[in-house]
Amino acid sequence: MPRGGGLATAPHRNLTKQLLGRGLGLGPGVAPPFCYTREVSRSFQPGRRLRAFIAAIGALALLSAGVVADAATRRGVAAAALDARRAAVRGVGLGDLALSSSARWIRHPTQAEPGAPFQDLPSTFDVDPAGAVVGPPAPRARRER
Amino acid sequence: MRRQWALLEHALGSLRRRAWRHVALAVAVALVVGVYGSALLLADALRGEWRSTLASVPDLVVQRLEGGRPALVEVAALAEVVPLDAPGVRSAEARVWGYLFVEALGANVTVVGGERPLDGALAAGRAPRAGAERPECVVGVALADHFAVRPGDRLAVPDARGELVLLEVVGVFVAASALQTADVLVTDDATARRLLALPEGRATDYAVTLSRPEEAPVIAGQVRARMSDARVIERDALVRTYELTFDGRSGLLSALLVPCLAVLLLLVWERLSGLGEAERREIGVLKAVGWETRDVLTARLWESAIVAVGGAWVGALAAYAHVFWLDAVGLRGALFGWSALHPPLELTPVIDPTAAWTLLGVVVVPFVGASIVPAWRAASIDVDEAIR
Repeated sequence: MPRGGGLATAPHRNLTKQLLGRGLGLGPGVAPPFCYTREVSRSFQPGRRLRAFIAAIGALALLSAGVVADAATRRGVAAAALDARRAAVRGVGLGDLALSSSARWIRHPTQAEPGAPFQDLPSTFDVDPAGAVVGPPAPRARRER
Repeated sequence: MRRQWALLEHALGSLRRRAWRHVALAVAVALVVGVYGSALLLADALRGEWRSTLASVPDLVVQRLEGGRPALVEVAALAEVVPLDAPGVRSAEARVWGYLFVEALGANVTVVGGERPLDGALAAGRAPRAGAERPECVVGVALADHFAVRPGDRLAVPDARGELVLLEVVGVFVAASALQTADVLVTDDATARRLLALPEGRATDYAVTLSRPEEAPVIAGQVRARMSDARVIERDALVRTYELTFDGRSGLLSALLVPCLAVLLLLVWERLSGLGEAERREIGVLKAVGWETRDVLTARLWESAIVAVGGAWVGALAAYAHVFWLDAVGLRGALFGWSALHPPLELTPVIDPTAAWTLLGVVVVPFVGASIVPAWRAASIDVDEAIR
């Protein structure tokens, strides 16, 4: 059978067989292509590829369900620990995330001044919150200095 | 319906015949969705972490500016600036806190002084007591791990003047609060002042808790009227700062990915618009045996949709696995920046439906859209010319 384009390798071999059975008489070695007619459509049966496709979707759906379950578990664990976290933040009095401990001006961005670059090292730029391209509304900016 | 099943099966056959081309496209889609998705998931999760504890931070923080920079405030002036009997004020305190650079760590430790209410916040031990024989402290998990200390151990920390201060570790914060307390050291007022070289009678700022948080702008105005050099930080300013921080960083990362998306769409257009000889003959034969243009178009769209949706689906799952199972390796550096003392990253998934739909709209819709015109051109091909 020719490969790479001939419809002889196309799907619907069952349909092809049916068509052959009806005596289309295309000659030996020439399989008829999938002929889309109402009758053929009615006799359509899902083929191997379609079943494999549905199986692949099922596998992805299963993985997605695993992810949803994992997310739910993580949320449950986080909810159970939320009181402790809130107590810690209440106790310390500072809510900023401890993501950058190596620079003072970014450890507690909410407590840092809004416009003071070069606090730690020469030529280090102030990324937060002056890193924003658009500033806050003028009255608010005045109020917060 | 049966017609669509038949066309879908034909599309699957077509995908299989040109498997490598379509696998390459699906991998490209998965890669773009995966990287975009990771950035969004990580930023949303961090935003969620911060928002979840927002209610516990003080409603107002009053700083004093000197020469345009935060300066120390007078402890004695607290009653004058924030009278406790003022309507709406529940509590006010002069806080002693600051940063201590510890050379051994290459990082700043956040030192917090005073008698802090730490009930329920500690995994082990108790809160430090003032007047103990040896100064006591509570440390965050990252600090405890770095110094390899547990409650009952002793810790020598150089103060701001370089002299060693011997502290007794009496407690460690719960690991769940690591994102907030990883580098925090809580100790009594006198020891904190010594560590930070903070003079008596002075404090870092005033923290004010209100009975009704919505009255914050009014109280803030009163504080400004009583203290002309005050800078009052309201809670909504904190929210905005964080939104700016995360939106800015994740936005920057996303902006860097725009060229990748453009390249992907260009690739899609290029790959799908070039009809090979075999494909041309195939379409010609299909039309010769009675397929309509609409059927050919639908089959081609099925092909594109399978590649785009399949790739995006795999990419989204990979993004989740990357952020929550692999701790966003590679990406956390870009989003957090360098730091010597990172907390262990145990994030809670927060999935923003708008972001998910945006991602789908940015990748899948243009992908299928970019394949429509080539599909139409392929479908409207002249039978006679195609077969010949």
